[in-house]
Amino acid sequence: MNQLFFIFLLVLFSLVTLSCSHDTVVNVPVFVGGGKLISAQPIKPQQLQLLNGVYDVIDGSDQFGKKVVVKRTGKTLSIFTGKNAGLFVFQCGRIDSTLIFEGYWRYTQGGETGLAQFEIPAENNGKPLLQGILPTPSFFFQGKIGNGSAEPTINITLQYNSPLKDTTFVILAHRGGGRNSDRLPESENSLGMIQLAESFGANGIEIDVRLTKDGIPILFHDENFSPRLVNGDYCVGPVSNYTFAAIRTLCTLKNKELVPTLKEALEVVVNKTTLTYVWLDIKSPEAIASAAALQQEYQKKAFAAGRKLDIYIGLSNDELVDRYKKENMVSSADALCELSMEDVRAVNAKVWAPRWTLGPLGSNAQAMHSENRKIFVWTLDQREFILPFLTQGNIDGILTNYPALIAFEYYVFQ
Amino acid sequence: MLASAQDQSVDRTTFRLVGEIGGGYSYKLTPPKIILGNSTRDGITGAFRLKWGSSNLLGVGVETGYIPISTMAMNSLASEFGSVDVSASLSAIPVLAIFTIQRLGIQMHTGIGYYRMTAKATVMGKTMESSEWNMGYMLSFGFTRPLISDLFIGTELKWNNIVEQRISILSLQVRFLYFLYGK
Repeated sequence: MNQLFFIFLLVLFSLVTLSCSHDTVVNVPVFVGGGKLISAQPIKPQQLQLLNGVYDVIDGSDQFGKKVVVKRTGKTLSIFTGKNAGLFVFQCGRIDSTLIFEGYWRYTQGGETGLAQFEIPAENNGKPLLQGILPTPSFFFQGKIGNGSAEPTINITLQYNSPLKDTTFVILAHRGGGRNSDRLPESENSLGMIQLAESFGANGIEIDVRLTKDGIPILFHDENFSPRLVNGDYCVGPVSNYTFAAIRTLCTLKNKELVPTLKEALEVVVNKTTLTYVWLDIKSPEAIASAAALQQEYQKKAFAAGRKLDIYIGLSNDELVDRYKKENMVSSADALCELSMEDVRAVNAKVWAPRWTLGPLGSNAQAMHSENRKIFVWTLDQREFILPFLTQGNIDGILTNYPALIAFEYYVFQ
Repeated sequence: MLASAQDQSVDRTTFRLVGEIGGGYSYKLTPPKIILGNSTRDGITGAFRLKWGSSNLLGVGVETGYIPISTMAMNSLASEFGSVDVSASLSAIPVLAIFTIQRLGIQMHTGIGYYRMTAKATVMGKTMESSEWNMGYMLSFGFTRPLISDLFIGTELKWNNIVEQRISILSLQVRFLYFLYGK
């Protein structure tokens, strides 16, 4: 009897302990008072681009590995490291001819983060860079980092090694830039996340599209609402049970952003990023027609703005393929097909997107390329699985939750 | 005192089938993430149990009922859609496998299973209802006293935790037990 009672209490204790759940806390450190950049002038993107390159880590290799990749990403400068898929994201400016870089570093596979502050003094390459002169192997990029919100005190020294040879490889960020589970500064599939994707190393995004009850295409991954994705007690069950007005009124995404429409997302892609690829992961056949209409509209807008932008309708199952054919989109809408090569040909998809677990693509890749189709592999997040695909050299892009990791591996591998 | 009252009235070794019905006040412990207008997070709850066992050993059974979780209502909410009227409610129906044991006159119940969550909302004149099953569990502590021969009255403090929705509800209920079999 006592044993039974003990077991009963143990079960109760386990249930109570297991019930303790915590929302993910997103903490991006910022400089108090805006840092030095508050009084700085902007740097032209083409001047920032001169810093692109592979660098050797002289001080700080314990934290970030022996090599890093420095790359301009829109208006920001990023550093991608090999350790823990680490990255730095800098806002940039200049005071006279001294270049100032302030922002944060973080391990995307772990969550540690802190402030980062780099400088290129005028007398030490600042002036030449502003005049458009490329760094040489004797160029040092130096700064300090801190932990959390603490003042940066730990020295980091990077020495220029080589330029980035090819920046056309497609790095697609999953769910607009990354997942909620990785405690990023913005929610997955949000407008804010789309604007961060480039600084994480991506030049393309994958976003999830499904329809509201009243037929509005929105960005949302799961079929059902859940506390994993939204705040709001009254959003329960299938997303398709709710009108767009109800969704925008009753709940927000995890970091309190509004659930965006596909139209809002594409507007941001065209007007606020330099992203060149968008993969629309269509979650229900009913969403294909409205997604395709927006695809056409925003490809035209991007073209009119002088932008290169390819938007693909993602087809991930037979039901979607059937609807795509039924809607007579084969000749009008660009598709990305995750199914077999026969399906890719049947819908005349521009992109074949096989799952990475299918392994090396061999002659299949050659066949797809000979038909002028691109190949994007999904979803690769681990170095040991990424490298074989990069070694083969026969794919055009990778979908990942960690674009910083792919950017590092790809540019260092070159 | 409570223990002795029960000890005198109940044969603790006889296996019985017991029906139990209860009702009372419930309060949602987890605060809402979004607060609009007039909101409540309490209400009148009810529960029904059927369990088999003796007072001396672990009993097993099933439990269901109704748990009001929260409501909200707001007129003329300024939004991107203009001025809108919004109202919503959330409730749950538990379907739990329960285990029960009694020590020192206190009956402890724990249950695990699913809750049928139902949200009803009216936004801009359009009403929608949406439901889903969510996993969760229940813990409770209570006692009973004999009322008439096979009928007992008691009270119970109950904690329902709907894990997937991260919603916890505390309730205080009055309950009636009746020996359906094994008197």
